[in-house]
Amino acid sequence: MVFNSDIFLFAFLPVVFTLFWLARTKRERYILLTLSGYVFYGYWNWRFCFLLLFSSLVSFFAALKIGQSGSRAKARYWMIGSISVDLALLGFFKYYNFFAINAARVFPDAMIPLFNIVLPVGISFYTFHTISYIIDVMDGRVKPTNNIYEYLTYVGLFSQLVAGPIVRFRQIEDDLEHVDRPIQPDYMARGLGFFVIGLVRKVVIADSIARLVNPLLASQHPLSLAGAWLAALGYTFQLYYDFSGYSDMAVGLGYLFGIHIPQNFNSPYRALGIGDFWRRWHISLSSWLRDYLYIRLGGSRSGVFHTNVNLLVTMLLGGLWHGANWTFIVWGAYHGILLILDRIFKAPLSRLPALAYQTGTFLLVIVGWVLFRADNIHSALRWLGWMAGIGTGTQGAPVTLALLVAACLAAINTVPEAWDLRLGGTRKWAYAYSLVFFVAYLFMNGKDSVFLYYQF
Amino acid sequence: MPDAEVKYMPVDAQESGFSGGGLWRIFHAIRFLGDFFAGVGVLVCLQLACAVIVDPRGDFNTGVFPVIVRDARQIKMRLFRSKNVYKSAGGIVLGSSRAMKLSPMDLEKAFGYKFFNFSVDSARAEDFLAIYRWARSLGAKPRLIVIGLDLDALHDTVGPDSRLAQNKELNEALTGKPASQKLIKFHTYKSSLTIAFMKDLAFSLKQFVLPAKVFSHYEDDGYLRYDEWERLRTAGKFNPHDRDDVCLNEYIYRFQDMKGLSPARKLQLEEVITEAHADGAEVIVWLTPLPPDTSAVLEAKTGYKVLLRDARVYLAELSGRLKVRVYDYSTIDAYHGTSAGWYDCGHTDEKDSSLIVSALAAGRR
Repeated sequence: MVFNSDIFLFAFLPVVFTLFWLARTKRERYILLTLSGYVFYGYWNWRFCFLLLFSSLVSFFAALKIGQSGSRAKARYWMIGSISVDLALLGFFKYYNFFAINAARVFPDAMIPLFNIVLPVGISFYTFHTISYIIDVMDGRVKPTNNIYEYLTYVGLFSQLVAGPIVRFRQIEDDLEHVDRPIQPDYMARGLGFFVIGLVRKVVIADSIARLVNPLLASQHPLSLAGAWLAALGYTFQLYYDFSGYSDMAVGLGYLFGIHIPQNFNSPYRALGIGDFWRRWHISLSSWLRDYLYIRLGGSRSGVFHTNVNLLVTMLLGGLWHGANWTFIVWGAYHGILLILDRIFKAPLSRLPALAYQTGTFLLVIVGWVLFRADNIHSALRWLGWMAGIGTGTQGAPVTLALLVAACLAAINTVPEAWDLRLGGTRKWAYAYSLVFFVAYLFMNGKDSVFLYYQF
Repeated sequence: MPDAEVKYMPVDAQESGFSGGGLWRIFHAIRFLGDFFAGVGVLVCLQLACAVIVDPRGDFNTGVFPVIVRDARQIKMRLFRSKNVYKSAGGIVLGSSRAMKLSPMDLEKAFGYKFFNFSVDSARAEDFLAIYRWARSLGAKPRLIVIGLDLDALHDTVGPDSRLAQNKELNEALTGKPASQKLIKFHTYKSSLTIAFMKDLAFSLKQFVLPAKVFSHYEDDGYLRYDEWERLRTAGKFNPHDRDDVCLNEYIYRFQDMKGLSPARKLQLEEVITEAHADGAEVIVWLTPLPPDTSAVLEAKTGYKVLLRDARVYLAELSGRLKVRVYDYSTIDAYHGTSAGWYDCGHTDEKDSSLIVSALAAGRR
């Protein structure tokens, strides 16, 4: 089930919303949210609900054991055990075949078996949810909850279950504790506003760009210089509006149920430097990687060399998290190197005029997205070659794409994020939201589009 | 690692217009939602009113503004019924737009009796069955059914075409039960709530004010004439690659979600064949071609290659089981076609369609 589908908008959401606010007690609401999460997830494939439940139960009970452990050493065993289970599941479903194929290339006589593995939707996200919980409990930042319904609600909350943001338990613990509070009209209004804005970003902007960019990249003919750049820019904006649109919808849905989902995008293409970019792009992931990986590896505490190594390793794994393909690993390494250079040359770079710094950062990000989007390293290098004028052909891009790209370029520098808008709850705002929703529905009706991050 | 600041949106009750507690909050919430749904309702009603008044697709028979969208199903049903075509047609061509250029005159020369080309846009197996049953219900007694089978006619995840869903007679022929008028009306109204429909609305209004040349029409035997493209070809100004970006995109989207051959649609295809055999008609099934460039793109971007392989295996088995002639014309070499014989990335022109007819006739001898 996706947010931009008739079944979600006209069946699932109204039913869950109505039942939620009719329910009075915490327990009723926890059970309803949990069940709705599993129905939402199971709509794709009900069998993988058991995997989600298993992962949730392992971390729930491990956290309780950590809380009850007399010694830190024992607690560590429970933490390591729980994280190992999570990573083993993620590793098998997402990466087994990738590593098996590559290992077979290196050791052709090894006869490593390949399996027909279905990648469970959202496994990368809910695994990070459970790992963050276990580590926070271990570090004493969060008390382990002994309410199984509360925890299942946290992991299975449908608004962020399959494509983020990656929400930590402590970020919504207070909201979950007060899930039985009465309806807040201002939250509901804000939620509706976020949701319709996110819907427009996804189905009107991102999908319109996708319809123009995808055939360009599918074509066998080499792109012209302009065509290659327009395809890269098009994808840059498509990815941003798709993912940030989804995140806005997730935030909106959270508000509809009285839950604050944190911001995930903050005008990333206005970033001054790659470091700033990662403070603005997929914030929930970058902060997760910082807190649970980079800092654990030593962060910046052990000298310049080790800091750089930690940065590179973190970003390599961050790239791998996105998918089992060498392009994602190279993309991660690329950003890792850029972050290192950003640190080294921070002083001279910060003296650049803001426009030059922003433009330079934006261009570097575009190159990264070419790696991210390409099917393989060869295609990525070919595309980058076209962008440099090497081996170009005559295949151009439609004028519509050029116009859309120009409009997006203007928009990212002028139009604020939904977070910066004062979304109101008066009658005028209700009518404004209805108009935005209506326009979005015209675009999405009859078309099935999947979020770009849906299979991560 | 950059220190990402996690931000929450502060909720200011004064700014949002809400204050007070308890029942007052519930009242505000319900009123706000009510206003939102009322807004959506008004906009939907306005759009539907425009849809009925302008009626660009001829769904409501308003007749005030020009109907600019070709509904091949409606048009061909009307042609088939008129001038007793249904009585004289010894052969019927079933298929999608990719079979529309199979000339009934060529087929008559090849097989010796009159044909009607009943190919309709985006036809899938349920369309073949619905149309065959409907034709028989009129009293048609075809001797030969020629089915141009697109690979995506057996699509496993996409539903029936909306123009079939909105067609009462075809629905009744397909199911054998009276079609639900309410469901048909619902599909008709829902299909008007799209950007594509808005574009059709605008184009119909523009046609009303500034009438433009006709793009295409169907002749009495169901044969498609691309008036505009044929005119450009004659003048030496036609480029089949002009629409490649849009055309390729369409095919990629069609095949992206196709994971296999639909068991239900295979059954429907087999029902056409068995019913035709029971009615004394012969059936020929041919896999429709795509130009090499299109196939290459689809193989790179979708599961087209595997699907084509599966379709060939299935049709070979079908041929033996149901004693039906099956021809694989999915590549141009199979019927001695040409890479120039195309109007766009998926539709053959007159020359290549003629070559297909020749190949079908040769295979039958």
